[in-house]
Amino acid sequence: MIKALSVITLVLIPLLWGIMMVPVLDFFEYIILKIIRKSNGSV
Amino acid sequence: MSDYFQLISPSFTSFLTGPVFFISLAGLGFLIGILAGVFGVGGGFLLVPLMNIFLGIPMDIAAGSATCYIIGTSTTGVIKHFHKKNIELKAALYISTGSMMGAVSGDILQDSLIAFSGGNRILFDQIMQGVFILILLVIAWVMSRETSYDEKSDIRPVTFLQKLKLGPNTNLPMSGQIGVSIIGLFGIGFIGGLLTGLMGISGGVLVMPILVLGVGLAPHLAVGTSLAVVLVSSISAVMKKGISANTVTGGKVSLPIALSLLAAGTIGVRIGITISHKLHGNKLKKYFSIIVLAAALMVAVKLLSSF
Repeated sequence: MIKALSVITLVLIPLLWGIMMVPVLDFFEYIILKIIRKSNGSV
Repeated sequence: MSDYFQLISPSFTSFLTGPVFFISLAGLGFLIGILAGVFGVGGGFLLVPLMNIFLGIPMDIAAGSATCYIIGTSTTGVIKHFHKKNIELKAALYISTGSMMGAVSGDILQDSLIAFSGGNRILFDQIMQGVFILILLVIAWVMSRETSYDEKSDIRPVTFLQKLKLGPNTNLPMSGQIGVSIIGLFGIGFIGGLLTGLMGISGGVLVMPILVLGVGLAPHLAVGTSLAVVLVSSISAVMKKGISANTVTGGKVSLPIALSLLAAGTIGVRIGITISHKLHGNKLKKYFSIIVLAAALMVAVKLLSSF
């Protein structure tokens, strides 16, 4: 039981981390691109 | 409950402690994440020896934790590649299935060959590592020379798997290939998995050349598809390590280490994917041959240290 729980933890936590980071990184990419475009004077 | 924590966070001693240890891990995770994003590899072949040499993490815990980290980075990468339509899902599915079955068969074949050769495991490992170095050198040479891919052309040459008259067939919509043998795809995954199982080395570095040279995918499509195959094989590897873990001596996967690596690793993957999209397909293959050479060098160091 404990072993099964540990296997689920070891697979699910990095998997959820990977999924969760997608919108977070999308947001930061959007902000960074906006700053770059502003500094280039294209927006 | 203490057994549970011993399984997900095995104890060990390192010469670095506290924040310095975790910041170093995050830095390593970031650099390997960039590699994963650019080339669609897990990066375990570089990460494990670096964690062992520079941070003093025991080899088995480093290997287990690196595999757990690869689940996170490949998940982020796969989602991004999927949005960019850079994954051939059917190919990834058949190759992953073949690869997992090949890895299990490789493990069994390895035990049989060791028993057949009189139980000399060290000699067997040395021979296998020698063979693996040769395979990697051939792949590096072929990848650096094969520069025929033309991104602008709509005409794709008929690949080996399309010529293979071994039904049933499937279509690969992203690469525009029609009538690709499913058994061929499965077989290619099986051979890759068999090699990695037989040699006891994680084979992420083999997937991308298999997809480019064997399946005939465009380099950018191969990067995304390779990452999907790596995701499936890393999940199965962590499950295998978790199931075979001992509650008394502790597991081989450390969640705190994996999460420290992941803290910056996912950022690295995103940067890597952006770099990958800016590179021409032929350049991507040339740079990848350098990564294959680095993998060959790491195996050579391991082989030499065993004498």
